[in-house]
Parts: sequence; C-alpha cells; structure tokens
Amino acid sequence: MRVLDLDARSYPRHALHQTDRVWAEKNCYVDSLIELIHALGCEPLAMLPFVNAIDFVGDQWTFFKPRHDELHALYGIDVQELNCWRPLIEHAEEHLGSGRLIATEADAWWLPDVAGTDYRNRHGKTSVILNDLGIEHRTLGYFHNAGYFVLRGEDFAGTFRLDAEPDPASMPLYAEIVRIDRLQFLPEAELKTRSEQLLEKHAMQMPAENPVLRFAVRFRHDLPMLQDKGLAYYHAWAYATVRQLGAAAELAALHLRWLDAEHYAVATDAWDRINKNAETFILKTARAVDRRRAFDAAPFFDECAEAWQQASDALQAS
Amino acid sequence: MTTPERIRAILKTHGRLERDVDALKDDSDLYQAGMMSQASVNVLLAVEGEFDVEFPDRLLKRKVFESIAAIACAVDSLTTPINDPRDASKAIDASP
Repeated sequence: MRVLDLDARSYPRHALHQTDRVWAEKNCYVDSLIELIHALGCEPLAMLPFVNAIDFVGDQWTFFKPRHDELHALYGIDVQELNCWRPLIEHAEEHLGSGRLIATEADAWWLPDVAGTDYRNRHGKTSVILNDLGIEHRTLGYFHNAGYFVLRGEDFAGTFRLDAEPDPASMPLYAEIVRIDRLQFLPEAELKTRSEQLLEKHAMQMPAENPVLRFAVRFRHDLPMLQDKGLAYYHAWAYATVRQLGAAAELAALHLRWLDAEHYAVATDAWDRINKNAETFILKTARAVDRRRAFDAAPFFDECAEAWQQASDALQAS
Repeated sequence: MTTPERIRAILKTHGRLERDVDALKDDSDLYQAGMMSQASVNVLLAVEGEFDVEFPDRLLKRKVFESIAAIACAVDSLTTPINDPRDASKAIDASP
C-alpha cells in the first residue's frame, strides 16, 4: 500500500538537495519534508522563512523545523502526533492504506541510503517519512535526507522491530500522521504572499542579541574538549552547530531569492556570507580537532557576526 | 602511485561510497556515488596527511572534493611549486 506512486530509482530530487548545494543535507526532518512537499507537486521553498530565526542555544544551533500551522497555511498539509499504542507497522498499514503518510523516528542503522555514515555501522536516531509499505515482500519506500529510497528484508524487520523478542523496556518511536487530503496548490503569487507574511513573523522572532557572538564564546571554551574527545565526537558537534548554522543560512538566502531577489538583496548577501564561511569553518575545525592544535577562529566569527547583524537589521526593516 | 591512485586508496578507506571506487572515473561525482559530508571531512584530513599539504581556505570547499580529478587538481596545485596555486581553484571553478 502506497500513498504516492514513486520510483526510488528515478526519483528527481528538489533543487534544494542537488549536489551543488553547500549543505546537500540540512537536518533529517526538514530534508524529508522538503522532498515530500516536492513529490506532492508543491514548492518547498515557500515554507522556509523559519530558518531566519535560527538561534544558538548553548550546545547547539536551533534544530530548525517548520511549524505545523505554517505547513497547513501554505499547502493544506496537516501534521498531528501519531498515538503509537500498537506496533508501528500496524499503524503504517492503517494509515498508508488510507492515504495518510507517517513521519517517524527511525534507527539509521537500518537505512541503506546512509551507507556513507550510519547504515550497519552505528545506531542513531533520524527521521523518515513512510510512503510505500509492502508487507508481503517486506519492502518500504521512504523519504529520508535528500531523497526517496527503498529498504528491504532485514532492514525492514529492523526498522519495524520485527523478528525480535519483545522488550518491555523499549519505548515506541515518536511519530506523526501527515494528512494530505486537503492538499492545496496555491498560485505562485499567492504562495509568495503567504510566505512573505511568514517571513515578517520570523524576522521579528530573530534573536535580540547576536547569536554568533554567543557561539564564539562557547566555541573557544569547547575547542579543547573537542580536541580531547576526537573526530567522532567532533562530527556530532559539527552536525549540531556549524551544519545547522550553515544550512539555515543557505536556505534563507535561497528562499529570499525566490521571494524577491532585489528587495531582499542585503539580507541575501549576509546569509550567503555566513553560508560560505561556515563551509570553510567546518573543515578548519575538523583539522584543528584532528591535529590537536591551536586555531584562530576570530575571522570566521567576526564576519559571521557582522553578517548576521546585517541580515537581522535588513529583514526587520523590510 | 600517481596522485589519482593515491586518492582512490584514501577513498576506499575513508569515502564510505556506495559504489566501488575502482569503477569510478576520475571525474565521477563522488557525492552522487554516495559520499556524505561527514566522509568528505575524513577524506580531506586523510588527503592532507597523505600528501603532507594543508589546503588553504579557498580550497576548503565542498566542490573541491566532488571528484578524484578535482581533489588531484587541488593537491597538485599545492605540491607543484612552479604552478600558480590559484590555478587549482580556477580549474575547479571552471569544471562542469
């Protein structure tokens, strides 16, 4: 049973996930949602205003996600928590069979699309959207990260926790029902109008104090710890910090260009600067951690702090 | 070994590609072959160690790691003194 008729072998990714993007993968929830909206025939760029309000909160940058009411306003998509009172596969059979998708946490260990990182290598929480369930042959078509994929056999059993002894200590995965029965395809002009209204709201929700400055202080404090813990720890840190900042900046710039490149030129330029600096910084930090040596990060933080202020001032004045 | 051959050896260890490295052409897109961002960081560190070079900021770009040829071009720009090191980024910028 499937909701959307998709072929993983020929699935065309949205432009936000082409390999020429600096951050082809942003974060798992946003990535899979971008592709779902794209597969539905809608424009995911419209939902992106929330990235402008990204903040640094101690040990991470905002793990940015769209708000459910905004998905409804733009696309008519309704997202509600799935009450997992029975095994996930039974919920999947119920809802996919009725035209409703399921967004759920999953263990990346069983996801063959991440052969480059976690697949059969490391257990880790990620988010996927279930679309095509084949119970008889044990196949699952799912959105994950930057694309649409199929898993089979043992991976199917692992994903749904089949063929294993019941574990009373095992908590169910968090999951959501994604309803598309009231899907709407707004004309581009109307979609941009609504997206611009969301941009105004999120611009006003940008941090009052420059978050890059707070990140700079924390980075200087944390760098010795990162060097002590090594590259594996660094990768987790980088995903929670620099990647989220850089990806948000890239998405913000792409969204503003789509909305009105001329009107938002100043903010777009500012986000571009943060994006490009983050691309370099994440590699320089890896080197500093790997070789346990001093690293002058001041040029990165100075430019990004200035650029963030530029973006904030420009957007709040728009 | 040539520079591309040494890079292939690094990719086998650190690239975590979905495809066989030996089956790739020098200009094959490594990201399309399954290399993820995390693996590309490890490839960078391994390349710098293998060739005893340090990529300057202008070469610390995702695009520099998109193919064996692009990585080799960057390495050669740092290990061949007679070359203008800016040539590497020019060549990479001009690549399709």
